[in-house]
Amino acid sequence: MRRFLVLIKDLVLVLAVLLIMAGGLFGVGLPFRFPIAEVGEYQLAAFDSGLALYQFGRRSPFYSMSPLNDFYVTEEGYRATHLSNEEFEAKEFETNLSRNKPLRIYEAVVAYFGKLDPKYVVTKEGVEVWYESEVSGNEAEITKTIKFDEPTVVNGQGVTFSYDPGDIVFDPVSLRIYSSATREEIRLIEELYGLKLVPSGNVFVSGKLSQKAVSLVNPSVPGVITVKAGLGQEMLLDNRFRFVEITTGEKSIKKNARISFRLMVAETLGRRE
Amino acid sequence: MSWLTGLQAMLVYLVPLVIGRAVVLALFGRPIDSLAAKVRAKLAGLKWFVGNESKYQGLLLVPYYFGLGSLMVLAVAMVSQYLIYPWLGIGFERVFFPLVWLMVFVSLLENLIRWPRGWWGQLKKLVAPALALGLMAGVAYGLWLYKSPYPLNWDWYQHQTLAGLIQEGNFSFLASEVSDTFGFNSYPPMFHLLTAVAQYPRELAPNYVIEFWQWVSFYHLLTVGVASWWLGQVVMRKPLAGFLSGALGVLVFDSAVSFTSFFWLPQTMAAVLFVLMFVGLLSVVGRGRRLSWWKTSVAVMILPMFHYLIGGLAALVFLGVDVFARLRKKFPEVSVGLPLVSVVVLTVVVGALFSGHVDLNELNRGEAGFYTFSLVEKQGFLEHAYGYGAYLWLPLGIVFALTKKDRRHEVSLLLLFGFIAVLLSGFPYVLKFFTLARFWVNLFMVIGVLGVLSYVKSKWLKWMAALGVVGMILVMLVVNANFWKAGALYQGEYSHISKDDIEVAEILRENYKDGVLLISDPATQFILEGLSGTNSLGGAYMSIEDRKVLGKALVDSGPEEFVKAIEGLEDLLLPGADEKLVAVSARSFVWARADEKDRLSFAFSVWSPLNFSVNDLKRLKEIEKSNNLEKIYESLYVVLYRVK
Repeated sequence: MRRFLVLIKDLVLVLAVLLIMAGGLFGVGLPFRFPIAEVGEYQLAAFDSGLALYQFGRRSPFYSMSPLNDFYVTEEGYRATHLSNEEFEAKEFETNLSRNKPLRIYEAVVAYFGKLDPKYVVTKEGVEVWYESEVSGNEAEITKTIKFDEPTVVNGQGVTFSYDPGDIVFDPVSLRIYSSATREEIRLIEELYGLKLVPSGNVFVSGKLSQKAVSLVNPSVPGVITVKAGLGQEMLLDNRFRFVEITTGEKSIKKNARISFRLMVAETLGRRE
Repeated sequence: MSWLTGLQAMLVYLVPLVIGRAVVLALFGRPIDSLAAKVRAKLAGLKWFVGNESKYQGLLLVPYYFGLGSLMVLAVAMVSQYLIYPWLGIGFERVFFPLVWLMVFVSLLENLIRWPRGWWGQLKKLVAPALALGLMAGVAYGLWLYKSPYPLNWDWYQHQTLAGLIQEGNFSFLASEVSDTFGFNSYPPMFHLLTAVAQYPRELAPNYVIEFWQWVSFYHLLTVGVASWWLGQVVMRKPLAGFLSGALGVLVFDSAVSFTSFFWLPQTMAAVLFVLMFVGLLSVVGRGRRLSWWKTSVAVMILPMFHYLIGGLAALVFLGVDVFARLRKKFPEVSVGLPLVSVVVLTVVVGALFSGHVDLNELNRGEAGFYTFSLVEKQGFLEHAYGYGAYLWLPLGIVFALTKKDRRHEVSLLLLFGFIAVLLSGFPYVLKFFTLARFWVNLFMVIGVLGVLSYVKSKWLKWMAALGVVGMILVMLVVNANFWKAGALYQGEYSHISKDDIEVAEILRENYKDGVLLISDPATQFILEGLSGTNSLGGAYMSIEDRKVLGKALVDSGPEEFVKAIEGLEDLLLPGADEKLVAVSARSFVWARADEKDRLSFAFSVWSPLNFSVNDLKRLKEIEKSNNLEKIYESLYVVLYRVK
């Protein structure tokens, strides 16, 4: 009996040491941002307001996919954004970035070994919106899923991809330019990326893109970004407010409504010898 | 990685060790001092724990052999440079390297002839801890190297530059007289001499030096583990203490400023040598004895020769403890309490009063400001390495140590409080002292853990708990490594350099070595100079005037103006280069387009490689309109031009 009691005491003490050590683990400083996935020349990561493509180490535009811009179409036919600016300013939401520490520590460990792709989840009353990425080489597939607490009528939904004022936007198939670009820029893009862009007489202002794909180059950062819509989706380009919108008219009254699109960031092409 | 390079990297440690032991044999006739032999005889009957500590007695001499051997190498260098060269006109490299290798050869013979008796008896008891440490160091280094094929230690380029110059015969006790990468004499030459000796006579090709530093960094990690293990073993005299202390030494990564475990640098090497030597001192003091005079002399002389600041403080601490122990032996009434309290109070008060008056903008061109941290920031750094663990285990360790009432714990407490006081002061760069302090922080955390576990009767349960602790520290290491590497992602790897850097460095090394000045932004030329050995315009420490000229030339000048600006830039030490090369990389443009404050600051750098953008290419085309530039190499990251 005495030996048993000693064993129990030993076990309690050992457990106490391990629990204290595990408690100490909660204090470990987490990386500033993780997981970060490399998609071609760009990095993809989650920020407070959504997922974004950007380039670390230089002044870079942030190409964001955010619940502040994205929407679903209500039963009445209105577009409802997932998160309003007022809700964002008043912080009336939660994200996966502020999840409990043990889970974040686990994610930091898994992310170190490249086994975790960036994900952004925003939760507010009655609804949760997930932005999940699946990165493979220089391609990322982004899937947005809206999860309502109650079955809700959804008459379609959309995701937006905002871009920078200085970007050169073009059709990845015909290489016709939608935005403005100088001759020198066109020549340098050909030299750098092997893409012989075709200038168009007029700047494209806004409208649907029949080929459901659009590419852009920012002159200040390397890389070509191509955004592609999926089957049954439509793509709209707005050069005034600088965004690409992918929509689906798919109707749903389930709890979950999903939309996915592909984001391809071309590596800098060729090698100048 | 090449095993041959691995063996050669080992010479950094083996050369001074072999020479030092041979000198001791020659001077004293036998490898151990007589006092130690007497003590060993007395201790033979005592059962302190599993065996007794005298089994390590011969090994306690190893750091002193190393220190003495290093001093011998330094002495040969000084004689070669300051006596033989001026009097006989024979170049440094033609005297120094043959002399050192002759010494190694003779020393090896003496070491082999007088191989220590009973060496296996001593060593075999260390097989288990050595395997455990080797395994932990292997795991830690493997995790660190994950997706990082090149050293992540940014400073190694400048140290390799100096070692390369020494191999070519450019030696001076003052680093600033050898290379303008060293704007002031912040480093003594010991570290670079040992590196040059180990690399001699290899051709310093970029891939070779990269491998060399990868290997030697691993050996350094092992020495950090050994020093930590030994400190724990000698203070607490328990195998479990040695194991846990060694584990913390290897697995805790102080990821801000000090970088003790993974980065082989003059200051981290000084810290490890200090701990290893201090263990010998502590072992002697713990038995109420005095250290042999030659050991004290070697420690006090060699530590500052590795790093003025860290080694200098370490030498002072060593001497202070040694003198204190001698005084206490003579005057038993001398107390530890008063000096301890006064040192702590004085340091904190002086730190608080005077740190506010240091002009950080003037000190080291603003870099000092970057290395001055608030208490909250320091707390953050501590948590990156230890989590909340340090807040509990450290005070607990102090409490348990106070109850021990033996000299080893007493002296260790004195050091811990002294280091904490220095770290808490508000002076710039104080966090560098964490490279010394970490060994005592780890030690007292282990004392805390083992203090609680001392109430556990079952031996295997104690070891299970220790393994659990190690597992959790491993998790912290991975999270911390993730934190540290996150900003250096480039083409699937965490790196400061790209394959293009290596290619350019190879071209430079093979074709543009002598009489050439390489000009680029601070980061690019720092890397290329370290990899190739081609002289650059001050490396990462380019002067402010040159930064202004180059920054403007890169973004805002016509082609001929650009060439003219480049032609006007001159090396501070070697003006009038026969040929000038310009490396314009994507990094160069990011640096040149940064705010002026950043561009002129030593603290700012473009840490990871980048590729050219359309705008970068546009600017390159403009520059290339000059008829006075010849393109030598071109990639998506860097273009190398020769100024005609």
